[in-house]
Amino acid sequence: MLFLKTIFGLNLRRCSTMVRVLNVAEKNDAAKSLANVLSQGRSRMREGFSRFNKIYEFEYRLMNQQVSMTMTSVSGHLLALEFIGTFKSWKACNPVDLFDVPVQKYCPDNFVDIKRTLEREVRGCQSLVIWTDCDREGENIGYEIIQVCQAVKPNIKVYRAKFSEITPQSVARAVNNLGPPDPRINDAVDVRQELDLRIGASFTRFQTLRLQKLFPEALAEQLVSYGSCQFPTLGFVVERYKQVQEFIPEPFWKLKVSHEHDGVKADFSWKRNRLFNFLACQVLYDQCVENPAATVVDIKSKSKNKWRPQALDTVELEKLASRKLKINAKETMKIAEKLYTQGLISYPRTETNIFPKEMDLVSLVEAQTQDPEWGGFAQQVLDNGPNPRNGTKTDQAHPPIHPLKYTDSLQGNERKIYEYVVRHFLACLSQDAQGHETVVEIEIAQEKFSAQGLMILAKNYLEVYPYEKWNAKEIPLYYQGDQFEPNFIEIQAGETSPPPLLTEADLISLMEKHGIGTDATHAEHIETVKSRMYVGLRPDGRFVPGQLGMGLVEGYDSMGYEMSKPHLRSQLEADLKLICQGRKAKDDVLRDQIQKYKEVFIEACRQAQKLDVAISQYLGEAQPLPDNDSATG
Amino acid sequence: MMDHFGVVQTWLINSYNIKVSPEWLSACLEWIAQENGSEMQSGDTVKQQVFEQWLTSDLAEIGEPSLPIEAMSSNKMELIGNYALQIISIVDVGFPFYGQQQKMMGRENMNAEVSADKPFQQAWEPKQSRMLLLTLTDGHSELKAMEYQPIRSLHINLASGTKCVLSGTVLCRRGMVLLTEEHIQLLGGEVDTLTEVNSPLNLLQQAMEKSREDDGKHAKQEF
Ligand SMILES: [Mg+2]
Repeated sequence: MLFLKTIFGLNLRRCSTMVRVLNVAEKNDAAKSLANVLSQGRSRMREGFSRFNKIYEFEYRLMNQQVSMTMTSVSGHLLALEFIGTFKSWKACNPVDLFDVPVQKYCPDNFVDIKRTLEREVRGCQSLVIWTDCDREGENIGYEIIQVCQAVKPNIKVYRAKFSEITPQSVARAVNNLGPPDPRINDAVDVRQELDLRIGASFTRFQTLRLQKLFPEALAEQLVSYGSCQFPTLGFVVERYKQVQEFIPEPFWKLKVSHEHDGVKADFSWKRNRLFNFLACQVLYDQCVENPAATVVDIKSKSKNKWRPQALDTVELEKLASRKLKINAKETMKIAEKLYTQGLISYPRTETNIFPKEMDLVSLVEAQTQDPEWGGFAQQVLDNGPNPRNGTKTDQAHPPIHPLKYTDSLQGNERKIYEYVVRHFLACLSQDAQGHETVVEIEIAQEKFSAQGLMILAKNYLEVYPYEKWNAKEIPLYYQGDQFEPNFIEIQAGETSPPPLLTEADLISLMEKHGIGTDATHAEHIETVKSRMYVGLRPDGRFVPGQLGMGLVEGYDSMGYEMSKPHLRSQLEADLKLICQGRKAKDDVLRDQIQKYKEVFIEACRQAQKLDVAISQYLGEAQPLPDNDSATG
Repeated sequence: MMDHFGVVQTWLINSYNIKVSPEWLSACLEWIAQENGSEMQSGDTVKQQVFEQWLTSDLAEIGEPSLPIEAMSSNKMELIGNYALQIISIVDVGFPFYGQQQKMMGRENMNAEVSADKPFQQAWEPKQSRMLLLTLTDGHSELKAMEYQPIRSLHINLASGTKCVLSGTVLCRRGMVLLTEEHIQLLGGEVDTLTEVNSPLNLLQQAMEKSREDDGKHAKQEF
């Protein structure tokens, strides 16, 4: 069978009368999981011409008919846009002509194998179902697949599956609601692609040809590219860099009140936050210092407790011994076994962290009341009644690790392990620590201050368990109406600071805010401006504009065309939306936008020297241009 | 015309405790008489006309001293009674001057605020709020005034030279009074020679340069 197939390239099974349906997803992993869901895991996989895009086959009941399904994928856009014929080459024409020269879709070399797979597979199929992502680009990719398949099979029936996630329910819903693809969304993306090509190519050729002549050493092999998303991305970096350079730091002053009680400190910050005039701050400082009595005027708190430890099992013992007692697991277990054989602690190898009901905890605690350090705490546990915090595990053989006989004659690590077992036991039997996450507001001489922190109401188990700290910011215990005298009142001086330079994450937030690119293309645009030396990334991960980037942005800004500002692009985005809604025709938008950008281009060429001047500030004096050979023609 | 002099002078004092130099008052009355021509004007219209002239005159030229000298120097005192004063400058010291300048020049750019990991400013943390700082004068000495509690009638675009009345019992520390709503009443007016030089933008610039002088100053009181 295999042999026959390879000679005639014909899959004999295809001669069967069963209806065949070709399904195409946007990426291979989508195709794989869609096939898996549709076939309930019974799909068979075979190779296509492209090793990245497998083919999955299975039978399926579609539109109440048993069909043979073939599921494969593309890798994002299958086709790209180019100028026809000679205009592809740089020398062929003056860049401004690129606004009017015809364009065509073509299949880039690295996707030809995928195209050949689709052309072969569709030959035997009666229907085609598009499973690309349900977003604008996905719809456009769908039409590229349709274009390739209809070239081979003009009368093939075409369906579009709408799904938001690859789960049985949402895939089933998609299959039951197959509808036509949306030509309007496809048009919108076609318009964006054509504009990006025309604007990108014309400005890139204009800039590159001109600037390479003017700044040969710096830009000889350098492509000085332009892109309608790339430039605003550069623009954000330049804008933030300038904001930092132009920032003027200023002094300010703020009042601070500090109060300490039982070793716990609270720093109160001023309700007025800060003032940019020292005298005004000093006057209010005088008011407070003259009568510093503080009154608690408002308390907002929500309770916040800290869990006491669960009953002790072997894993916990080893973990804590190594972390807090700096005794490794082997040593810990050797000691634990010795303490067990001496009858001091229970059997130390247990996975149980639940104290059995019938266990006599009282006498075990009583044994510990004689100890000078934790005896008192043990007594409290007896008074309140042992209340163990149990976990959920039990090995049905041994109880949690706990102390048996009392001893005070152990030394070194043995003492540390025994002490830990006792303290853990007592902590587990006592109560969680109780606290209030609180905001306290006080008033001094009619000036208001506030502080935020944890007020610990009852340490409880923390009293006997030094191995844990409540590391929240603790503040003293305050009640409404309390009066106290602060430890000190202070005028603190400070200075305003500029916003930081942009990190990659900041840059992406700005791109998202201004609708520059999509979440799939953000990284790509950032990569481009980096690779073109428009921006540099500092060791601390923050962007600074490169010399070329600064020159280009300032050059275009000086022409009055803020090419680096997002608004030029957002008008296009608004028109694209109208196309999707069917409220504006593709050709009208294309004509208007091409006209607008062409005017900008012509104006840019007319004021090209401004670009030279701006860039020469950064790349040094420009080479004199012989009069007749102006790069812009 | 001379009988008007005495009546108007006492009216000015009884109204807002306005004290003006006698030379100015008589020159003003003379000018008004020429303006009114032959018709005899009632006492009230003349008073109103003099008041309007007062509103748009610079107290530095026509005012009589009224503020107590020690108000400027004592660490703490109380100012009691009514004082008819002129507002020379008014600036918000609750916000950075640089940011206010950018906003005023329409160069405020919200992109500067954008950050991927904007530290979440918790609700309890004190937020910046307005505090206007005024420089007042009786024409002879200057007094600072702080918006100790919000005063709705005040705003930073008040023209330089606007007249106001300081009244009641006002606490004054280090030459700065702590104003609340009931202490100050605006009477309007302005002085065109001042509005130019003391434009809001210039006042911000001056405030920024002046605050540099106190750079790093601080204080601390232990209890
Ligand atoms: Mg997608």
